[in-house]
Amino acid sequence: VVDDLAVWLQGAYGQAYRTACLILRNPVDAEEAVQEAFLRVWRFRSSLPDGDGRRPWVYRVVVNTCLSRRRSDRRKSGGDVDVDLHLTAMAAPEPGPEAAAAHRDLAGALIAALGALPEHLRVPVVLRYWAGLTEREIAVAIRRRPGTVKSRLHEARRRLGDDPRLAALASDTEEVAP
Amino acid sequence: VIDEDVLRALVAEAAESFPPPREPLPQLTEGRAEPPRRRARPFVLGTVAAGLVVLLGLVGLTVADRLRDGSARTVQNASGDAGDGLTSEPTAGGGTATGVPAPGDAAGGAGGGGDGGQVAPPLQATKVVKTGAVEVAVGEGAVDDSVTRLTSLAVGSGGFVAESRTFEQGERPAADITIRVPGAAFEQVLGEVRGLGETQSVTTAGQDVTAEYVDLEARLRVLRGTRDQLLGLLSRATTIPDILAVQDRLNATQTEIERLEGQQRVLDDKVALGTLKVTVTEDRSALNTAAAKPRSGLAKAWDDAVDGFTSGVEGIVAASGRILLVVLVLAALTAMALGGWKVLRRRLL
Repeated sequence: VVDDLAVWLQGAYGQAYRTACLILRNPVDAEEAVQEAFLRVWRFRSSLPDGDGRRPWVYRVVVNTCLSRRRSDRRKSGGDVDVDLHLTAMAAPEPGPEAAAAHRDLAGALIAALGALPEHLRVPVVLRYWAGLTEREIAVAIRRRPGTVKSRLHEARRRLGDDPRLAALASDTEEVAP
Repeated sequence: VIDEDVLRALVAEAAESFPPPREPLPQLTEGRAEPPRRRARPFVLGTVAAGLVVLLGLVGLTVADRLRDGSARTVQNASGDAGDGLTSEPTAGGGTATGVPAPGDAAGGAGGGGDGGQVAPPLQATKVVKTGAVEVAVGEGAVDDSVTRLTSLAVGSGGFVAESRTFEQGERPAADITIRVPGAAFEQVLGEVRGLGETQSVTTAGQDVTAEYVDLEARLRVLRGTRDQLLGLLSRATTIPDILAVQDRLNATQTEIERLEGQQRVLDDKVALGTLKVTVTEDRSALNTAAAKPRSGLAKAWDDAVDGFTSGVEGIVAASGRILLVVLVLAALTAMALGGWKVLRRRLL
């Protein structure tokens, strides 16, 4: 069981790291937060549910660690993180300057739009559309009722739909996607 | 509202735009093979074991107390005794005291508390008023002897005869004698009284008046503080109405102090000397007059052994309710602690 959990955590590390990136919008902080969260999961592994119940619990730890880190950072610096600083630090996964610029536009717009969302809306969006958790699993991860998760997801989608830059990119994506 | 699939695609695009982690996840299994839960177990077991040891100790002490102090066999007639005691209280000051604390008492108490001379009273030792009633049937013509013997018993133990009455019951002589004996000698005297003849009935009671005593002491402390303050005020009063007003309060306070001191003296007296009421009747069928022929040491020892055994069993039965309650409370606390620990650990995650 112990080896199984270690293997599982190693496998989930990449996705959890990017979840934390989307929540914190800072790769360095995200990496530290996920490592801290995974070590915490390991330390308290005896109270971790087995099987399908494991994933939402691990994400609960990840989310909690991210949020507490963010709060302590905010207390220290007295403000939010500057999104643009991290956008310039991003790697361009696709070759070619145009593709890279387009990619950065898209990613930057989404990250900025996510950043504009309050935490209680941003976290469910990231967990649902990146980590792929179900509404019920998100409910476990953020300790809210499934109905609350549903309404928060709807509210988040409505606000993202209202974002003009994102709406323009979304229409481009829709045109390209089919 | 943004479309779910579009949002999913956008989020994926944004997530993948972040650089990969600089360092891989550290090896989790190194040096951390044992889950922490195993360390928690001995702590929980140790706590439960310590609780049980304390519980057993308490039970042992309770039972030992019961065995030593037979006066706890029957507790009765407590309020009646307290009422008797109050009839002899002194009422200096014309009986104006009503027992209701005067309005200034609280202020007096607060003032007393702030006074450096006031120290917290020491822990009060248990004060028990012992009472008992024994009916003894003695042999023909032995009633007078028994009364004499009872008198010498009372005096010999450091007490006295409070009341003595001889009368005819049918055509047989009988006597009622109430003796006061020191609390420490109460059991011994009781045993000797039972040895006078054939015991018809025995009732003993031990009334714990510690709380009442402590209450009296506290009230007295407050009232004395008030009195001191009033005396201070009196010395500073300059006008006649002021002097009269302070003096009125002072009189009332002094009266109350004396009334409570009287109650305290009565309680002290009751605690110091137990009351044993003995009814001696003549039983013609009793062949042996115990007054003339006291029981042998072996018979007395046997009776004492039976008494001791009975009171021990009674003590255990009486304590069993308390034990059960303590066990239930401990079980509930343990369950709550374990449940709380589980929830806490999940929350800590």
